[in-house]
Amino acid sequence: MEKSEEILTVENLTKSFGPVKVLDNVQLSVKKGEVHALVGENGAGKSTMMNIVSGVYQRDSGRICLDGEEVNFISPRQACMAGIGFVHQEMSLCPHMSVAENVFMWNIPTKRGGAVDFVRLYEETNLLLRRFGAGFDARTRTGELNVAQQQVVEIARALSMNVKLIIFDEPTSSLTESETENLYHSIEMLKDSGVGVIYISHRMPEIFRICDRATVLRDGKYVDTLSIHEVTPDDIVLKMVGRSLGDYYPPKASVPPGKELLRVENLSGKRFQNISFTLKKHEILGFSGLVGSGRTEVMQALCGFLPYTQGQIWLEGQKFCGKVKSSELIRLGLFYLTEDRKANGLFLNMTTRRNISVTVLEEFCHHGFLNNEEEKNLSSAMIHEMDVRVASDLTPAGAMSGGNQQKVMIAKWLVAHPRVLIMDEPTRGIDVGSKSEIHHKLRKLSEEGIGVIVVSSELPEIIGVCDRVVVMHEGSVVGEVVGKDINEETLMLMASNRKKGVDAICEM
Amino acid sequence: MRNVKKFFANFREATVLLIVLLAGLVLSLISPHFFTWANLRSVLIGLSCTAILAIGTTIVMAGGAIDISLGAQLAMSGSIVGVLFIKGVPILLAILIALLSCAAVGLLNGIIISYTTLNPMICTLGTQFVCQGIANVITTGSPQSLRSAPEFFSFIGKGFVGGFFPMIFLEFLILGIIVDVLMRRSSMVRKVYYVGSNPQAATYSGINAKKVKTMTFVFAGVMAGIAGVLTTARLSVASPAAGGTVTMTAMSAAVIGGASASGGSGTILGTTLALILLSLVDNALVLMSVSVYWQNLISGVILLAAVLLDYFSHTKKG
Repeated sequence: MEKSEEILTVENLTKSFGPVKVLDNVQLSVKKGEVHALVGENGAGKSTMMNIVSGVYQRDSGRICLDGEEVNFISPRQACMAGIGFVHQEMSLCPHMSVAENVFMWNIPTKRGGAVDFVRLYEETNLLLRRFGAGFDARTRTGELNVAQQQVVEIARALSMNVKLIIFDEPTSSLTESETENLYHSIEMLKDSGVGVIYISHRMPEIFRICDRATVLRDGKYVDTLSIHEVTPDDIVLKMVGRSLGDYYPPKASVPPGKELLRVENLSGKRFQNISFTLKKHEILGFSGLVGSGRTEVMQALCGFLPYTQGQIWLEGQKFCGKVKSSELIRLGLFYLTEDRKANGLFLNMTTRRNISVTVLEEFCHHGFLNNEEEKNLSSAMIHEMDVRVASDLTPAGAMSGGNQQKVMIAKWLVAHPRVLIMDEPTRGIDVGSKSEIHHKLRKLSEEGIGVIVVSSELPEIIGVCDRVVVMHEGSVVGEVVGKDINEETLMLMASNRKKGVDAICEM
Repeated sequence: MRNVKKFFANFREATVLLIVLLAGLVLSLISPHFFTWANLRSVLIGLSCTAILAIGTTIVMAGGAIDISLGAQLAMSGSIVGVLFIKGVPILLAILIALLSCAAVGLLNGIIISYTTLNPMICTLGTQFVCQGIANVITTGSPQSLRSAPEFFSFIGKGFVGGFFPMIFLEFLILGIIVDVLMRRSSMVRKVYYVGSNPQAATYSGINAKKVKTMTFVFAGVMAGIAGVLTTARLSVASPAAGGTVTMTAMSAAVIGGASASGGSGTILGTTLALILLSLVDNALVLMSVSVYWQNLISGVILLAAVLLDYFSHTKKG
């Protein structure tokens, strides 16, 4: 068979997890020396598709061809051997081992007799590292490197395998600007050497900077493949959400902000300094900034889950400073919804009912004994109110979809009479429908007089939902924007702490 | 088939009860001696101390940890109460000291495990040797006979209520029922399940997870202490070897009865029924004059069958 120009073609790919069809007949084709963006909202199926291509999951049906030959990988190792590199969002490196050992994890050079050839191992690794201008040695312990450097290690690993196709899954999410620039440089080099690159990202400026084409997925279905030079970012966003953003998000606050619910002054601690802001009644306050800018840490300190060295907090006029127990703040109605609902939000092997009632056990506890009937009524009412789609309130939380889980998370705090609700990444990894429902619910809560803070890495969410936005950069507040100023351009500039015009981003 | 799976997944206790009843039926057909009060009574007396200790095992496992020092704590408690009594300490005071010692060991376990990232298995492995060591030292390694035990002490160990119902089993029954009800209905004990299921989520929900977890170890220690005191009372001998295989038997019973090594589940009823099942198997072997050396093998097979059944009834296709 003649070798095609296409390095990877995916046709009619379908995959289900249990009853949920996560990929429905999707397609993709990547050419040699092309940077191909794969875009879509969280839950659109990007990661699943890439996990199938790289052998982590197996497809239900469909065809995948690598370099003109049909392939069916049953393990990541196989895919790797065939020339598919994957630079994961979460690093998949062994922190206790040297850089070289990580790079050559799958084919450590050996001498005759099977002993590791350390001289060659380090030399070859350093050769690879030098190509990317990496400022560290192959002998360095991987755990000592920062995120960007670790990413270089991952890229080097892919290259050591003679990759034909390399997948980047949101590679810039935790990189600084100059690190991002280095990454672009690496990608250019890969491109020049004829490697196909798949680039997963939702950052439009990045896509328009380095990609040639983009394939859009929505709700597990293929939407379109666009040539980047012929479209605008709006075209892509429109294809991603499938409707204009106008009716997708709830209306903004209709009444002017009321009295002050929360005031924070000069809060400082590990990884954040001098944070001051206020939250008023009837407004949704956004916290924006890059991952690692300290947003989560501020919220956790505020709610008593992390210590802070100085600063004062007023909750509805009541002043707190120094060490305050989180349970005391919860009693006063200051609630924090964690960004990682599976790791530290829900009790996955327990029933929905028990997940909802956890915050208010005392309320249906009489003389030390729980009243099952009251507990049941409460959870049923909340399931109805939040429109959680679940067979019964005895279904374990772990068996629900992400959207329903998030609704249960909110339900469990709503029953506990919130005064201020802090939501960290309220819609991460959930479907578009639930996302919109949750956004509307937040607006409704804010109208009812509950203070709402939304911490989010997704700019569209911040822009669509919030009335006022605090932007953080490397542990400090860099500014606050209100009303019309809340747009992608301003927020991005502030988040990267640059006050110059948009050109600044492009000229980099 | 799906309904069967669902039944096994949701009604663990009913399943175990069913198997216990079936085993009882088969046994009474096989041996005419099985369904006699004398035989059943000896089975119940035999399992009582293990069952009391298993209450503690279940709570610790529901809280997401594991305690392998409980058997050694039983031996320590039994030795302390016996030796102190022999040395002339009033029996009630001796019991109190024995229980407090176990509570202290539990507190130590709990604090170390909750406030550091030390693995519960490793930590209790250490305290297990400490407790066993204490038992060995104070008894000088050999069983100490209590010649003139007071009537009260003998009664709680080997007495019969109304002349026929074993006191020791009654004591377990009372403790077991109280704790079972508490685990189902008290908000305080409910927190144990939350902490076991997901300690971070519990903390974020306003539960003091570390304190709750620590208390499970203290409680388990006290249960092991009671079991130890009763063992000495029953045999009139303070034996440093009383711990034996109790720890592992109790843990097997908890797992068969529905507790999970990853926490958040388990009930006293389930554990007790499973323990009865294991005891019936042992009893059957005796009645059928099969060598007792088969006991471990069969218990092991039951344990594996239970956890595998659990695994397959909870995993979905895809």
